[in-house]
Amino acid sequence: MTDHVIALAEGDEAERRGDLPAAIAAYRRLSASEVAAPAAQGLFRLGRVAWRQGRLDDALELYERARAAAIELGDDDLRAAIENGVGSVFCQRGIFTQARASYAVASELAVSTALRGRIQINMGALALLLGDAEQARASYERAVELLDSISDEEALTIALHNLALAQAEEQDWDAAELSFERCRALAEKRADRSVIAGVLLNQAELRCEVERYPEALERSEKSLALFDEIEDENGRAAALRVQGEIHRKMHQLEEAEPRLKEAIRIAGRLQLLTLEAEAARELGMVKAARGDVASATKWLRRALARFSLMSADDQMHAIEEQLQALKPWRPSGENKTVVKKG
Amino acid sequence: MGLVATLLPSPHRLNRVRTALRDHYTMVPCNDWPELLAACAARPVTIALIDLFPASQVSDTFDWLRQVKRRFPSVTVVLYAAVPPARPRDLFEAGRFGVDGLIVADQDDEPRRLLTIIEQAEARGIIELLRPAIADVKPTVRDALLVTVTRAHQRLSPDLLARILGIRRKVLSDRLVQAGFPTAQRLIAWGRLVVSAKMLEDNERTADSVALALDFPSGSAFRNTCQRYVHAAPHQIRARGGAAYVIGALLRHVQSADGRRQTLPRVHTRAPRLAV
Repeated sequence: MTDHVIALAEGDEAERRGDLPAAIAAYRRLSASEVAAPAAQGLFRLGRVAWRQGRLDDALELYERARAAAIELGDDDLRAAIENGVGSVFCQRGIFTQARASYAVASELAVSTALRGRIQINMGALALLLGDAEQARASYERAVELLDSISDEEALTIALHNLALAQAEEQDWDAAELSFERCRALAEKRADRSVIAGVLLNQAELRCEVERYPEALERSEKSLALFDEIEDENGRAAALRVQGEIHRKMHQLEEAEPRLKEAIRIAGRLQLLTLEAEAARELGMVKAARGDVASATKWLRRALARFSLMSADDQMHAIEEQLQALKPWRPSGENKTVVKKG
Repeated sequence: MGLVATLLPSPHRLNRVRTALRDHYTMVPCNDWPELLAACAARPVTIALIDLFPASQVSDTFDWLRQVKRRFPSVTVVLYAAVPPARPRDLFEAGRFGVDGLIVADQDDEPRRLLTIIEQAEARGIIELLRPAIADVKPTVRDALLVTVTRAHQRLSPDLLARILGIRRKVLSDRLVQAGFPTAQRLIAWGRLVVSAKMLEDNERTADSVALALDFPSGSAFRNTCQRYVHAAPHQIRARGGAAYVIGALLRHVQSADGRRQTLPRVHTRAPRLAV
């Protein structure tokens, strides 16, 4: 085996197991090669790792350099992979017009089925982020078809995960459940605990939606245990938030409260705005259910502040209505908050 | 206004702080670092006021400080130290660890001065709210916005803002326009509004007192500015989340100007994954 092949294999393996510093070391060796083709591959992969690490400016710069090399080499598939990477940087930054343009170029240039499947996944993500679940679902279905045909299990797991999210968004619970199950089976085969935990939590939310609370609770507990194991605080907070909601809906308010408070504490510490807002809103509802209007108002206001920061108008209006509902109707038109008695 | 956790082994200094902050802040005195961390974890502490140099090794205290900053990035840390035993090098080090304010014993701890330092440090705390939201903005534009917030209590002008940033006014204007941000004059107004909104979060404060504190010509001038920029009255800003609401309005303004479309960030377990 040549040095290039070894460096590429080492880098890919390290990236797969999440050891990004080792991946960077291997790809740097590759990018320093005097042979143009492996050097371009090295630059592209360094860009990809930078993107995974959230170093988006670095990722764009590395992709630029890789693109110049790919054009010189006339390697359309590499160019397509790079454009797909650039689109993902823009997508992450919320610059969706440019993301769409990059994915369109990638789609035109892509040759390999694996890459075409990945581009479909990202176009689906873009549609889902913009609220077009129908378009997202169509993209994911194409992605699943392509990736199934070549047994690309890594990408297929992602495609199925996202497909299930789109189906859940369309409230097609049965289809979402099937996709999540298939995704979970693949993730278990690949021992990808992060995906398994995420799927379990999504399944818990689906079951909560259709009022199958004991099953929802069981899945959320498994998910929480897994997030604990892999020390994913972000995931733990999300799981605690879901458990809080399930307990509230089961009228187990004493169980709900500590979980939600813990979720809020973690979300505040990690600056997870949406999660903090959702958990605060949920806690506000728990307090309201207990008749503690002052605390309910406090937590709903906190949720409102977080949603305000994100200009989430729908959620803001919903919470404003909940706050309004905490106030009694008065014939004089004056509205005063009810103070809890006793 | 907020909750101040203190770690001040000297009873004399603790009393000074207590006198200065009385009626303005609620204090949570702590006896050691674990207690301080526990207070930050359990209560909505906004400011940690600490003495780094009581007795133990300074390097140990820096380790604790690092923990506070890592676990609670939203907490504003203010150092209360005597020089000596603290050396200029130690203070420089503390700055590198992200300490947001400094009170020098026997120089800055006259009650009114101490209160001012705490209030200014809290204004910098808003920055923690702002920083993640503007992480992708070009550095000059980001700095311009941060300066308008941290110096909201000063009479900034576009010329002065450019001078603080070390660039010409024309360059500042061009960069703001390119990033889809408001003009320098309007950005200064946005900065003052963000700080005003933070003050409005305190239920005790009236719109008039906020206007006075931030040097608006009058209460009605302040209300007009709120309407013009945020399309809301001060009481509505307070009800919708205060500083967070105004920052959200500014970002919406910027994002519609530079072609971005804002979507609600998803909880990560519900977010579609990308494949590269």
